[in-house]
This record gives sequence, C-alpha cells and structure tokens, in this order.
Amino acid sequence: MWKNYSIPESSGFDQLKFFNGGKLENKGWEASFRYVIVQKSNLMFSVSFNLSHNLNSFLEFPDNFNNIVGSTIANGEYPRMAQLGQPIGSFYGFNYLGVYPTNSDAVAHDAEGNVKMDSNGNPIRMTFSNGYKFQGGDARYADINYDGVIDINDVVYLGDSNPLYTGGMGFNTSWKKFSLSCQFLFRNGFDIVNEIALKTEGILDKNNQGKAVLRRWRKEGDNEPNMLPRAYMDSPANNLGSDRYVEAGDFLRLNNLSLEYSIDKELAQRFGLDMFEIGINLRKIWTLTNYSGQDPEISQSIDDPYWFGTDNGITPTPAVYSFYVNVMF
Amino acid sequence: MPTQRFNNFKLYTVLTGILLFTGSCSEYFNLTPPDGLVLDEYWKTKEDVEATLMGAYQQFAKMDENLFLYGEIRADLIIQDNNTPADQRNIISGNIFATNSLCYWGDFYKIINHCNNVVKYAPEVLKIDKTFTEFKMEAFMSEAIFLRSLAYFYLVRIFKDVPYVLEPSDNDNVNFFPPKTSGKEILSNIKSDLKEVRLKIPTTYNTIEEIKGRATQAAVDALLADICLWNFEYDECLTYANNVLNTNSYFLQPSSKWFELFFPGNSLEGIFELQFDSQNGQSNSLYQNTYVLNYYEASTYAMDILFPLLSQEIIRGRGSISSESKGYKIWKYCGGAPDQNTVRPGSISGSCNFIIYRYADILLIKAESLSQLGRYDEALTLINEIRRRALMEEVNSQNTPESFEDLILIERAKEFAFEGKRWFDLLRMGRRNNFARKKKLIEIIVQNVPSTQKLVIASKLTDPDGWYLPVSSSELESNPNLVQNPFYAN
Repeated sequence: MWKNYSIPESSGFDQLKFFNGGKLENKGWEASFRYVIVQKSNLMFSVSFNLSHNLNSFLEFPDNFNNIVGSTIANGEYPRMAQLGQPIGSFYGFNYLGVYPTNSDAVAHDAEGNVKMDSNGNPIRMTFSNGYKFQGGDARYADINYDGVIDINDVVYLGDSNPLYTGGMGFNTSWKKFSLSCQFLFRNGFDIVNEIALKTEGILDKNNQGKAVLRRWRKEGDNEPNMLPRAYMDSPANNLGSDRYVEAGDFLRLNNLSLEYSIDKELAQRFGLDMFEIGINLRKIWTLTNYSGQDPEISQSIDDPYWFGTDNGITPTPAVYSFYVNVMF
Repeated sequence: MPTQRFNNFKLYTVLTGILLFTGSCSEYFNLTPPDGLVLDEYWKTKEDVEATLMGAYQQFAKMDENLFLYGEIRADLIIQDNNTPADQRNIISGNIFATNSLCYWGDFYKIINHCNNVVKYAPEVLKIDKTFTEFKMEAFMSEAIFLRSLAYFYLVRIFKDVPYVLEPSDNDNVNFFPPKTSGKEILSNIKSDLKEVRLKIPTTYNTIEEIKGRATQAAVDALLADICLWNFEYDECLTYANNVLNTNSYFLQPSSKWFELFFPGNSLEGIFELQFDSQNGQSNSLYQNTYVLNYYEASTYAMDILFPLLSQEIIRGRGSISSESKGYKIWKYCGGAPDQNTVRPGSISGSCNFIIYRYADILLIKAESLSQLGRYDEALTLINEIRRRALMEEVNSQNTPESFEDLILIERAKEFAFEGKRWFDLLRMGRRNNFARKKKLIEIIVQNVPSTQKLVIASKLTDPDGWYLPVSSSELESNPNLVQNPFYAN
C-alpha cells in the first residue's frame, strides 16, 4: 500500500521501497440499465443509464504509523496526511476565514469568542508557528484549538476527491435512415483543489498573478467581501493550504453526440459501393459545472495513499468535432 | 444430438483436468523481481559473507569526516573558518537543534546492520559452502562484532542512550521501532561481546592494509581498554592495555617518522586505521575539508600548545598545524612533509589514513588508569616516553590524580590533535567521579569561544545531558518509541 515508507534510521535503512501494511476498504455498488422505449420498423428509441458508487476508507494503519507525512504547512502546500475512517484522496488544511481588516483584529480568541489577554491586559496577537505575528491584511485562519498560534494542530479535514456517484446516461435513436446517439457523463460529490488559483493568487512570489488579485486588501480598514490578502513578498502565512482553494468539482458533461445517415443501398450501388454512410461526431462539447477552473475531470491516482485531487492545469482532452464517411466495397 | 453432448462432455472433462493439473493459482503470484537479488539467493558462499563484512568497513571509511567532527567540533582545538557549513557553525556556537545534520545516526546504523547480517547469516552459509571452515566463520563474525561494538561505542559517547539493535533488518516483520537502551547497558553488552571474540579474531592478515585496516586481536584489546577507561574501570583497562603492549608488535615510531604515521599510514605504531588510497579511487574527505574548502582553522589554544614557535613542539607541531602562509590549517591530513608548507600532490592528496587507535593512545590510556590508581611513577614513565619521542623535555608533576589528569589531558591534546579524540577526552574528565571536575570542562570549552557567547555556552554546559547531541527530529517522527534527550526536549 505504501511506497518509500520512511522507517527509523536505527534499522540501517532510510525507507522501505514498498511496504504492505494496514487495511484499506472499498465498498460500493454499480447499476446499469437499458430500456428500449420504441421498437418499430422505422423508429427505434432506447435509453441507457449507469451509476456507480464507491466508498473507500482506511481501516487500519500499520503499527507505529506516523500519519502526518510531509507535515509542512508552508505556503502553497497542503499537509499530506491520512486518517482512519477517511478515504484515500481526502485532503487536509486550514479553514480560511477571510482577511483581517486591521491590526487590532488579528488577536487570539478563546472558545467563547472573547479576546484573550496576556498578564498586562493587552490582547494576545495571533501568531504563525514560526513566530510571525499576523497583521491587518493577512489571511485569517481558524484557530481550532484556541491557542493563539496557527500551526499543524489547526489542520482539519477539508474534503474528499473521490466522487460519491459516477455515472453516465444516454439515448440512442434511429428513424428511417438516420441514427442519433448521445452520451452524458457525470460525477458528483467530490472536491478539487484549484492549484492554478493557489499559484496565481498568492501575491507572495514572482509568479504571474490572476485578475482576482486586483481586489486585494490595500490599507488598514479595507473590508470588502471576498477580498484577497495583501500583497507581501515571501509572506509567511498568506497562502497556506486551506479551503480557500477547495471547490466542488461536480460536473455533467455531454461526452458524445453523433448523427449518422445511411445512404440507400441502391443509390450506393450506383457508385459501386456496398454501403455508404456519412455522419458527424461531436465529443466533449458541453459541460455544466460550478468549478471555476479549467476542467473538473481530473485524473485520479490511487497508488499513492496520500494523493488528493488537484487541478494543475494540465492540458485537458480537447473537444473534437469530426465528420466521417464509412464505405464498404 | 447425443454424440454432440458427449463430445461436449469430453471437452469439459479435458479442460477441467488441465486446470486441476496446472496447480494452484498462487504460484502465478509469487514473482521474484527480475532486476534484484533476493535474500534467499544471496547467502551462498563465504565470499558473500566477506563482501558484506567489507561493506561494513567501507561504510566506516565513508564516515571519516563525521568521526573527525564528533571528536573535535565541540572541543577547543578548532575554530570555524570562512566556509564552515551552517550546521557545523551552529554546533560550534552552541546552537544545537534536533534538525542538525550531525544528529543523523543513520550511517552508524548502516554499519550495525551489515554486521548484524554477517552475524546472523554466516552460520547459514557454513552449512551450504563446503569450503567455508568454522574457523573462518568465527573470524568473520568476530570482525563484525568488533565493528558493531566500535559503532555503538561512538554512538554512546555521542548520544548517550541509543536503540540497541542486534537483529538485521531483513524482512518486513522486523521491529523497526526500538526504544532507547541506556548507554551503560550497551557498553556492558559490547564489552562482553568483545571479550568473547578476542580469541577468535585473527592476529594478522596477508597485506599491510588488512593488518592495520581490519580488526585484529590488538584492535579488540585497544577498544576494550578505551571502553574500560570510559567506564572508569581502571584495573580492567590495564589488563587490556597490557595485552597490546605484550604483543610486541607495536612500537612508537621514531620522531623522524612521526609524520608518516598519517601518510602513508599503516606504520608499526598504528593499530586500527581507516584505509584510504587516492590512486585506487578511495579518497578520504578530510583532505578537502581541512585544506581545500576552508572549513576549519587551528584555535588559539591549539596554536599555543602545538605551533613550534610558541610551544617548541617541533615534531608534533610541524606535523599538526600549517604555517601562517597556509592559514594555520589542520596539517595532518593534507601535508606532504612535516614542514608546515609542502602539500601533497593531487594524485595522493586524499590518501592519508584516519587513525582510530595507535600505540601512543594505548600508552596514554594506560598512564591515565595508572595515575587514577595512584601508581604515579609508572604513569609518569609512560608520559615521558611519549614526550621523548616528540623530542620534548621530560615533565614532572604533583602526585595527585587531578594534576596527572591535567597533564595527560594536555599531552593527549598535543599528541592526538585533530584525530577525533579531544571532545571524548574532555567528556571523560568531566564525567569522572560523578562530575567532580565539570567546572574545569566548562572552563576549557569557554576559553575557545568568542566573548559574546561565553556566558551562554557556560550555562548550556552545566547540564551534563547537554554534552550529548539530540536525537534527530526526523528519527523522532518516524519512531514514536524514542524519547528526546531531556536537555533538548522543549
């Protein structure tokens, strides 16, 4: 189940190249059906539908398992973790709560919402794990344990890259010499980390930035809704892996539409052909989704137990429009 | 119709029969990787055993830089230079964190793993290879036990308590997560291991590189003497030191040949040396680090006690520190001659051996034990023997353990400068008699640091746990059964 599994150096080795330990469970069901609605000599119409549902989860980890691998909480990175009961493909990070409008807003609160004070009666400033004190314009993250420090203990489960339901539906019809078929694909119930946004909206390095950074915090007191944190080169904590970049990836896509006309046999034979068909085939021409990135159909890889679904802006499969001719002679 | 059904029936019977006879499915799933050597295929001949043993020696040789650092970097004979790596600078300035690369003990455990493999599988090979004699097997296993014990001796002196692993990591079911065992227990175990193998280990080999580079009975005795001294078991220490003396195979080289102890090495004085030979592609790292890369410089104290102009140490000084024009560098590993100026030519620059034990060490170990037992005259004789070889005047001392301890400490500093021993000598003094002379250790170290850090380092050294290095943070993360050294547990 694990590759390059770190083991203590007291064994004489750094890693085990492959290690089978722990238990992973996959449970689900699949259903498909096809119904011919009309079947006459001239007209045929059938619909088909298939649906599958799969849940996987870690049942057991190996002894002495350290479930926080790559527990870096640096900018642009999501800590790679695995938790019992959660699936491969789940991801973890911080809860992003917006931006502090002013310096005085960046203070620690306790569980009841009261501002925490130190022994001199001054409010305790929120700090990041390396000691940096948050200021107005910095990103605000939820302090889960109310200790005034944003660190690995404030990392929570953010979402699951595995779809709840995957399926397709379509219909097939033919009337006299024409035939038309159409196929949809949908996936629903999964989240994607929009890594393109992560890389282009951080305003903390020399990367090209997207238009969204035009609506960032600029001065004390700014408090627009949905504004981004301030521009700050090498900011310690303004672009941590959080739910700011997690989006629902559910989509419905028209994957295949084709229309075909079969020319009369006698007419065809006049050309010396046994069969002559022409048609057009359209692929991936329409997608319905709320995902703001390029293509929600990201590839899934389950050979890495710490994998989670991210959209890296890999060139997606293109929409294809084709015209074809089928002849037989 | 019936015929066809019968034919079908025959067909099905034949097919089922074939399936049943082809055996179980699991055979098809037991695949050996075509590009690797599997455990069952390896341990077949005595050459395999020797090869793994050589792997342990080679891994030791790769550590020459680290063995040097562990013994010198926290002590008072070297200071940093322009290009000292950041991790080492941090240690020198007393800012030792668990993320420091010197806290990585993996290299020692690689050696230990090789040795454990030899100890476990040599008896298996004995059953298979008919040319493998029991005598030879015992010899290989003894060498492995010597190397393993030496590795653990270093680990205990550097980290104090470490996991004590005796089984090789040869399958997934090994316990990879051992807790720490106390250093005291480890030392007592390795002492009994060494005592057991002393008589089974060869006393000599065919080539000079093997005689000085592989474990011999004298090397085992030297290690035993060193361990006993670390444990303050003076009488037992004398037994082993005398064993080495009584072999009559090791002698202090005359002063004119002192420099040759290091290059080419393998002299009559060496007992166990890590072998290097640039011309065979086996260069050490110390040449680069101490000469080319500007990592270290001799400290003021080292200059005071060794530099010929200041200390009259013509033999030892000329061989230890380079001239001013060469930057007061460590000379033992790069020099071509004991004149502080001539550097070795490139083709042999990395050929200097790293000496772990030599005869002079045994004499001073014996002197230390004698002086702690109150036999001051005998101790003084030995100290003066060393001094005579170095063309220095004889000394005298008050007949008290402390003044002899001070005398021997300085003599060892001059004799074994930059050989990776100074820090362990200082720790020994600091630990003696339940930390009676802790203040003296702190005084010595603090002399060597810049004035801005004196108070900080002095306060850090008051806790003896701080004399050891922390367990590396990555090791703590992967092994939840380990606890950090309390001094560093924040």
